[in-house]
Amino acid sequence: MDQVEQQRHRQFLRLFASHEAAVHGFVRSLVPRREDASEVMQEVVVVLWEKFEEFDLARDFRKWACGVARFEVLAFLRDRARDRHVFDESLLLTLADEGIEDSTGETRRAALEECLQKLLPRQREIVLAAYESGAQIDKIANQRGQTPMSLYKVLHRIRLALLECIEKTLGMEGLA
Amino acid sequence: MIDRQVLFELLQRHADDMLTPEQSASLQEMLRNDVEARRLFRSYLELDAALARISDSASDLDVLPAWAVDGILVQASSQPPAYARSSEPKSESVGTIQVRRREVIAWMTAAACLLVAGLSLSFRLQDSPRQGADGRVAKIAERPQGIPAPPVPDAKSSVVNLTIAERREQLIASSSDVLQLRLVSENGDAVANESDGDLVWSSGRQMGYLRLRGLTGNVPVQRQYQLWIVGSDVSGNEIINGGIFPVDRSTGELILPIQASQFVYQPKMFVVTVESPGGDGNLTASLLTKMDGLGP
Repeated sequence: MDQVEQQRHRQFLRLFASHEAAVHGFVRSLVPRREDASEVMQEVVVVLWEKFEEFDLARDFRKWACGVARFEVLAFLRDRARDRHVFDESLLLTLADEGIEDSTGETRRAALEECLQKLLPRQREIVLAAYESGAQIDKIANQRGQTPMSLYKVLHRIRLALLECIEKTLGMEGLA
Repeated sequence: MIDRQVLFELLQRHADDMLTPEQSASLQEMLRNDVEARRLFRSYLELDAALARISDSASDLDVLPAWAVDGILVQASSQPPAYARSSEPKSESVGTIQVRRREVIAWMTAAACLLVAGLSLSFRLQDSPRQGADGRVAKIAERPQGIPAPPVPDAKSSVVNLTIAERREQLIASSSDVLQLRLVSENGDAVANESDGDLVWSSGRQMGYLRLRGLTGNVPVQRQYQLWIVGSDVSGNEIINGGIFPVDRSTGELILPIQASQFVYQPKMFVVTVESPGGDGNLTASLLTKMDGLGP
């Protein structure tokens, strides 16, 4: 690898690392399942790297990356158009456009980081188990002596508490 | 005006892939018609993605999420992406990814320092301890007395798994706002004949480590340490639970990551109490230690 290419790698990795959470969140908001988001992200990171030579460093990397991700998501969903969970395309485009232009995203993610720190150990344990790749809620619930539905409810309460915390933080900054 | 309760119910079902066709139609209708609903939808799904990333990073302590590693490796090797990761057998999948991550580390050596700087922000939660099935905090770091602490890791070595002691050193080295405080007894003297220790805390990163040394007087499994953080905000003082740390050993040094139960706005004092598991309220007075006089 020559020095120029090495420099390019560094720039890409630095920018991607800084904005990876934003792009992943953006993709997740457009696909029905979290496994879909991981799958699309694999492709997005490849395409971003392939197109990185075209990227103007003076531009906003997040916007550019989300723009690229938007096409990848739409291509991914077109193959699954008959999936009953896929939203109609006009709504997806609205969500995508607003997501790309959302200027409160950074603040929201900072609030999210802050709120995630407040998860209690037992809440964290549930989240880690439920969100592990390939996790089966039935099995986890069984191990914990709960019904799957009660575990879903616990998860929902944790997510709502986090969302409330984010909203409260944004409200304090006049952004909610 | 949206019905938030209905929206949140639908969001939950959407996130967990449990929407019926009718519920999917209702959710789409709400999203089409209400910008606030779309904002909350984005926020909820971003949160869902973040939790998935935390789970991914906690199950594998390397710095890159699995999909990113797979994607970058595709570039390095010109092979098709490993799309089938989630359907692979778990043990095989993990093993494969870990080997491939070592290759990535070699491939990206020159970029390692930048990686660390960038990714450290988004993976801070990795520093929390793992828990065993019984809910106890797992023993995280053990180092017999007399063996010097490992050196502060440089950027290159930071892309491999760090021990808790190395993470502590890294926090001290990398954050300008780190408080370094020694445990003292209630009357202000260094603790004698009992556990000694210190504490580091970064308000900016909301993380820190409690280090206990010389646990010579401890009877294993009979007492636990609890950290309390006295903080203050505009509404006055608040006492925050900094975590309960079962101590299941009797000698040497133990470093424990502080787990504040809520955001610590302005720490004023850290208090370590020792009591028996189950919290019968009988504190071991000689081990009631506190620190104050804050300032970097």
